[in-house]
Amino acid sequence: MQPAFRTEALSKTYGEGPAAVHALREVTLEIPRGEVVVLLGPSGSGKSTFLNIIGGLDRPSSGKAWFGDQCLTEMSERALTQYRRSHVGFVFQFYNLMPSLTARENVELVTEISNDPMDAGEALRLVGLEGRLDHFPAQMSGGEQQRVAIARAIAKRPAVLFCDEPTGALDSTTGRRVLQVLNDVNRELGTTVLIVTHAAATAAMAHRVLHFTDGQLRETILNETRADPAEIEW
Amino acid sequence: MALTILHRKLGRDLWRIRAQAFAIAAVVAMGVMVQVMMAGLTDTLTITRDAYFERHRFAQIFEPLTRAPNSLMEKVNAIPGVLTTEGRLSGYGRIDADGGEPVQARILSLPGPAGLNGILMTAGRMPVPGRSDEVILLDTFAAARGIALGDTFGVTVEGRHQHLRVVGFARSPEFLFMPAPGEFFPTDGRFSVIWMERKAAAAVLDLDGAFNEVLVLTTRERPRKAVLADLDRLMAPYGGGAGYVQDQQTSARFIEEELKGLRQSRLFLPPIFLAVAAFLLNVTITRIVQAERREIGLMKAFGHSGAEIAGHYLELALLIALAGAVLGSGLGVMAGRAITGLYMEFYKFPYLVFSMRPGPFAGGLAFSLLAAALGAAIALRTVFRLTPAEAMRPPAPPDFTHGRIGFLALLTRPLDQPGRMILRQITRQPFRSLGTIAGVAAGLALNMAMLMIYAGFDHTMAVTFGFADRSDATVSFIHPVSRDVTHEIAHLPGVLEAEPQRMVPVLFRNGPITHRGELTGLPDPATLNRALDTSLNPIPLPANGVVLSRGLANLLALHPGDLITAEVTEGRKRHLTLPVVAVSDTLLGAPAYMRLDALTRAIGEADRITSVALRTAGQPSAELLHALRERPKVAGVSVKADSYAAFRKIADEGAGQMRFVFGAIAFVLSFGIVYNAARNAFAERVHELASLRVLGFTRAEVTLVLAGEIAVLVAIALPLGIWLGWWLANLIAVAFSNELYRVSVSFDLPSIAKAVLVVVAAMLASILMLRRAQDRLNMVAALKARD
Repeated sequence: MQPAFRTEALSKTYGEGPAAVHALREVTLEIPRGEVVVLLGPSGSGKSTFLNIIGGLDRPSSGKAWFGDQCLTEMSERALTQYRRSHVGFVFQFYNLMPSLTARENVELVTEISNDPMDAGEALRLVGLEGRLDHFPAQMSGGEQQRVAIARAIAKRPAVLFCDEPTGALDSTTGRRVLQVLNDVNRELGTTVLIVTHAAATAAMAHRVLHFTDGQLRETILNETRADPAEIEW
Repeated sequence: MALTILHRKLGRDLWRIRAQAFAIAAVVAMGVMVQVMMAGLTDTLTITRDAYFERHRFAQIFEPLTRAPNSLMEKVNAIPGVLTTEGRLSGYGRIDADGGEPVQARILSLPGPAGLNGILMTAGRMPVPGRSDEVILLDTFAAARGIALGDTFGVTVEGRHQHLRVVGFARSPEFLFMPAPGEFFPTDGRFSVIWMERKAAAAVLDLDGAFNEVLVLTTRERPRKAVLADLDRLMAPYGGGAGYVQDQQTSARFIEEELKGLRQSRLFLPPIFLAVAAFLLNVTITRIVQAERREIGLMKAFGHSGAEIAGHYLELALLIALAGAVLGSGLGVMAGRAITGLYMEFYKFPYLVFSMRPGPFAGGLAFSLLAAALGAAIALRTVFRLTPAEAMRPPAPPDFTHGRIGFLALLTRPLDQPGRMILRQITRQPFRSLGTIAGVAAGLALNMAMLMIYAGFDHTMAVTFGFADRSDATVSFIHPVSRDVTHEIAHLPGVLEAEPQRMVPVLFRNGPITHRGELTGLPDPATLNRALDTSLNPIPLPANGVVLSRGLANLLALHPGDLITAEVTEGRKRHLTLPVVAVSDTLLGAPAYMRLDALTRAIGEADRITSVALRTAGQPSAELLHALRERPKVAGVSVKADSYAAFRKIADEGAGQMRFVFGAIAFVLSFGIVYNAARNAFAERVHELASLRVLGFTRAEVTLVLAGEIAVLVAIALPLGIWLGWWLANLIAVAFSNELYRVSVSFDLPSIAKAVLVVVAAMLASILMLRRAQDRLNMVAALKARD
């Protein structure tokens, strides 16, 4: 089976000359479909930069990246927008919901522009928020807001879900609940889930763990047995 | 004061929001500019007029009469309250310029020992005593006609033709604003004044040993009206009795009208701009304080007091206002000087230096700073309330629960999600949205009202020169002549139609309200000069009664059915009481129309006329003008094309420039408001916009969310602004109408379209600038930032 992502000597440099920062140095890897992949590493290790490039939010300085057989690094701005619109979902540390829209409307924001979306209510049910459909972000807890963000990300039935520090702003109980939801999404919808985090314990729930240091992929670990997110210790 | 770290931050903050700061400063600048310009012009005109009047001892009372012996002056001097007085000789003659139409000239004796109504020599010398052919000529007329010192020209006075030599040029406070008889606006080459030595004037005007006008300066001890009443009584047996005070003298009156207009604009314009600036600063500072919660928390944690931090943001607001005030002062001086130049041209002042007293500048500065402080103060309450701990936490998402209830829920139901975002954003901060709407509406209204007033100018010209007055020229006579002259003139070469007219100078009276004007007698039916109703249909003149122009009816507070008193000030000086039969929609001048036969009968001068209106084949020919020059009783010929050109010149020069200035002001106001609204919305919603991009919305779709909010606000502001503009136009029309010119406004669609276009252009410019900012937006950075 073709991998979800493939990269070849992917590099990203910010700035020039002596002040240049090498955020990513020649990363070559493959990510199979349908896995939960956790990207681990300290701040500045390049994991977020990697995620942003294969998520179509940023462009590399050199190297190539493919989504299936589409070369992301050769895509136009317009094509990248279309890629984000159709194939991938994002979850960020700070939820980034529209405060002026209710939970259901935040999800509908995406389903309105998607080809084959699930019902907004259905997406919210998947994340356990069927009772909060008509609440505004201001009326919800941080964990609830993050689950709305996940519902919004999966409602378009994306092939891949990108999560950048999804539990970073949450307490441990709420964080576990959110990881549980991501796990459910992977299991029930077959969505490839990429989670960037520096909470090492999260690695236990992954099929595959990618360790980043100084902009390089240091190590790839395949988990023989995966832990249930509910059992993860913080 | 040493530059603290906070000052350095201030400088950087200002640089960061420079475009917004500039837009706000520009709005402040417009307010200060109008204030400095209007105040300066008011001062300039007032100071110059007062100095000019005083230096040349401009009379406070004028008493024209037929003829009185010089010995009578002793009795005039004895009237209580008279400071000094002079009996002068005054009459009319006709300058027969080569080729052109005859021009009417006022003939005056040179000021006597008392120096009343003194003249200002601008070139040449005084006539040598005994040289009766030497005269001084009004300098603006000489310049327009190309007459040089030493030239001779022909003059016809009382039927006698003679040649005079120009030895000097002069001007006088008496002739600052002097339209030729039968015309509405002054034209340099169409009216002149000839000053002669007293003896020479007496010979020409046949007034040896006598005088026919009394000029008086009064003391402060008695009211002028009381002195005038005594003088009227004394002079009644000598053909006097219809004197008037300085306020009613043509030049003095029109300068005062101009001043009235300036004072009114000065009262209502600057506050609009300063209120808008205060609002903009309020919204902007609120936004900045919101965005810098964390910094404020940090500063408080480090031990800065709430007052110190609030002072920091207040300084930001004050600096912007200060920059605006300085810019506005400069622009005000520039605009004021430009308009002073126009005034110089229009009113014949010998000098006019734009006044720059410190008062208006200080006032403009003080009010701008006050407006800025007020705007900022409300926003800065938050700074005091914020505790360091609270400030360090990210703000809770803004509450939009209002969006689920009531009318708004109904309104948003059919919309897509971006549509709902737009509507809920607008309604969440209703005061801010209303402020934006009100500001944009004000800018639109201001521009639209001024455009409508100027369109009214064009309408006035079309009605006056196209419908009311259909003649090509008007011949006026020195003294009333027999109506039969009409037939003689009708047979002159090129004349297609001739229509007799009678002008009778009167004092109109309705209870305590009086007005010096004229009764205009027209044949019935009149074809060349007509009274028109609002639909531009001619009003038939009644056999008995008078048709008042709307300007005069308003002035005298009269309506159809009322009675009006008209005290004739010449000839037999009869007092007529006439029913007001109708009101005509006359726009230029303030005539009162009567049937010619009824009028001449009423004043006891049956069938005597003072002018004849002509319709000619094409422009009046040189042959026709020559034939009219040959007739000694003709005082002057006014060619309609010249009147039209004079009016057009005023409309194009003065009003044309003001039209442009107001367009620019409206653009600055609209742009300042719209751009600030857009910029603040953008800054507050960077995250949302970045999120939309991440979710797969295209740049255009994201722009639409932001532009949509602005567009909705502008769309609401447009009808409101049009309504406000229509109201304002009518208000201005009433305030600026005078007896010379009635400002007419109509719901003029091109004016509305132009004003709307300015607002839409400001909106598009703002959106384009935001689009550029949006394109530079780093999606990832925006999303990772906490707030």
